[in-house]
Amino acid sequence: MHSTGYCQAVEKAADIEVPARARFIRTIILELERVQSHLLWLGIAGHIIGFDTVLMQAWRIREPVMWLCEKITGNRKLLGMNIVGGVRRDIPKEMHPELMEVLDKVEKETKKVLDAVVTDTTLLMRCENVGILKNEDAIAYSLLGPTSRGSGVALDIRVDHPYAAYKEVGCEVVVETGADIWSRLLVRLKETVESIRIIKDSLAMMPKGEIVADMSDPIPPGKVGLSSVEAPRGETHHFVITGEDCRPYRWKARAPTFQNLQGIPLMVAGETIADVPIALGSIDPCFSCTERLETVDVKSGKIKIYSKAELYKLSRSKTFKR
Amino acid sequence: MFKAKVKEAAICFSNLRVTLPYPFGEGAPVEDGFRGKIDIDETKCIGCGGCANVCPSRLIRFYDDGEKTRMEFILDRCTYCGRCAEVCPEEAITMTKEFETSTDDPTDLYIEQELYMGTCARCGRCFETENAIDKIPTKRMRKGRNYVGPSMPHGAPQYKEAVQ
Amino acid sequence: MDYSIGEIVALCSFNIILVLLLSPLLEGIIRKLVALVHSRIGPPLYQPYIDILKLLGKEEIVSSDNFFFRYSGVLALAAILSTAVIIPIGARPPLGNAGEIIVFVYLITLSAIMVMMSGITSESPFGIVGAAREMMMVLVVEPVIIIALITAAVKARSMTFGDIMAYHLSHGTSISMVIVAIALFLAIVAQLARLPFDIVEADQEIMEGPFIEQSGAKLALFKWSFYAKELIFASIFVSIFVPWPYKGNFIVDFIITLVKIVILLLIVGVVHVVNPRLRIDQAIRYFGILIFVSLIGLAFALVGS
Repeated sequence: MHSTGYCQAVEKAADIEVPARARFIRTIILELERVQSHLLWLGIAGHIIGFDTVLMQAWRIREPVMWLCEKITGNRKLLGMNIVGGVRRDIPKEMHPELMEVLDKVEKETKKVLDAVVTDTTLLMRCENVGILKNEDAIAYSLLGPTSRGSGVALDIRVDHPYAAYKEVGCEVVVETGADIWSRLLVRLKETVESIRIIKDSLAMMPKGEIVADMSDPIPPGKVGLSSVEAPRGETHHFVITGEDCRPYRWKARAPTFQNLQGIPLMVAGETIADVPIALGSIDPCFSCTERLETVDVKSGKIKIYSKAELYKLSRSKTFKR
Repeated sequence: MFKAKVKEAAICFSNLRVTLPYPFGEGAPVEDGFRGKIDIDETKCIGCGGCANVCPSRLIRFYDDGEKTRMEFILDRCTYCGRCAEVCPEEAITMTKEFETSTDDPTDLYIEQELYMGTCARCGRCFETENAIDKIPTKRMRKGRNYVGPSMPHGAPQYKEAVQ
Repeated sequence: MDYSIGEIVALCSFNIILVLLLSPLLEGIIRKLVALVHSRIGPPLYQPYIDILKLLGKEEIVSSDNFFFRYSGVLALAAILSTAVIIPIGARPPLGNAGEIIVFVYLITLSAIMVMMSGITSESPFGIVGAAREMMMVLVVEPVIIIALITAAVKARSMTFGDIMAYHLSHGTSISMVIVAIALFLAIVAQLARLPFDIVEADQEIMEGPFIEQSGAKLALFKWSFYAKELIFASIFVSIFVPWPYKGNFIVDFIITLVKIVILLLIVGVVHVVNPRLRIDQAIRYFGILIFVSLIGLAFALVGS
């Protein structure tokens, strides 16, 4: 996700046109990441409420997806396919039947899990009417991704500002109005099924052509580019100002969890301790994307925000041994 | 509710024992094209510096020691991105299928390579690696001593200035 | 049943050694079943033995000087082992008429109180929350166990395990026993800290609850007391509610009882693996209904059926 965002921002800044085949391959990689992320989340949510069976089975279903990634990109998780101007590897025609077969299997298993889990009373007892986030609050606090789509806010960058190959392939926005943890679970599972459909259609519709644009001209400095990508957790924005010597002068990435965490106090105010972990888990937090470290001295009440240089110093003093 | 439990049990029992007893037994096989630890073929390297140019972790270093060019690959920061293997014009760097690279001995992740430089026929000074002289035309030139940075296309004005 | 002193001592030691040495194996069997449902290989059958041995050898980090913090593990295991000499495992109970159901319930409650004390004296807010949850669980689960055992006693017109077992052996089952057996089964699932009533310990929510500060040998004793509870409760259930077939031979009866215990624990394992954890208020409401159901069973027993 982030590599696509950065590459698209630089391409917008330098007016580089990405060939069509590369756009379709980027779509496939983005949707594979989404499938992986949502299946992992399903396992983690099950583990938080003690339902370890869901954890093991969801991660078992996720294994073929990681095999797919390894076959296409060379690594199960660190995909590394994007490069400014296109993608690094091609998906040749000979691979397509094998990929389709694995995708069919994953889709069938996901639908079976969705079918079985929807009527499970004990699961519903833990997830329904818990962690409620009203529609007005989701809009007022600008919450993103499946967190707000579970409360009826129908925003999705793939449809509102299409990028990569989403205009050609089409994408359906999944919205639920339940506004509790259960509706977020349903949104994510249905999005997984939709993502597999997108991957299959992209594989079928992929045009022939180059996979990388012609990059022999150096990138002009001083240009500004902004690109948005729909990550599994919400909207990710990348802002780039190009600089000298084909390097970026400024680069800012805003990840969605930074914003979604602001909705947690609304969800858990007045609930029991037992509901807090699952409410926190239902926004699918990625804590490494929340970039501020603020410490509060309990005795004096002083608040200190760590700057980037101080954070570097702190982590280097603990880990750097040479 | 019991129907849901029966369906869940059906999902569980239709796939029994999918795990492997790794590391006590064999692991799953690795696909072709896997990006594992890199392997360098000394006979093919021409010392062009393309790998050092693109490595995002900056762990490849070149040192010009007169009649030798020394290359250091400090692999503990390697992210297995594969850019070095992609950029190498002679395919001297390949990505193997080895992924179990944790060790307590830092020398396991340190590759050092020396290339002897060929001599100029007119003045007798060393200027280029023997491998490269054997493969004319040379594909890229570095800017100067101990330089690790972006290389330039041959038409750029900076190139003419550096070669002066 | 009148046993001689030598037989009593032999049976008591047999029971205690059996509870200590066999219960980790039963826990291992449940873990293997759970792993099978999870589609994985799972730990070997002797893994709980290794867990206990490892914990016995680890360094203990003590967070409080309280008497109960230091000795609650010992007292919990001692309470459970004391129940081992009054319940029947295979044969008639060793201490014969000295084994009453009320003493059994007291000893079980004592071990639950030790869990609470460990939580309260641990000087950690998670411990106190865990102890509060254990208190609430004890308040709703113990009545079900008491009512179930009293129903069995009412039918047998005696409060001792030996007489109850003998009565049900000769008289077969009845409606009240079936109703109460279902309620008791669910209460056993809660007592053994199995999902869906895993609320007190091993919480991803409150980080092990009352046991958060226990380490080393103390934690080993707590874990051992939980494994021992499995064998004790399964044995009670099997001896009172399903005592057939009974052959009269000590070894054959013992093996038959063991098979029945394993089957019961496998059913507990199946319930454990297909359920998420309930919240404490949902569990209290659930057991409120179960108390009502078991009272109906008691009513049936009182009118004679």
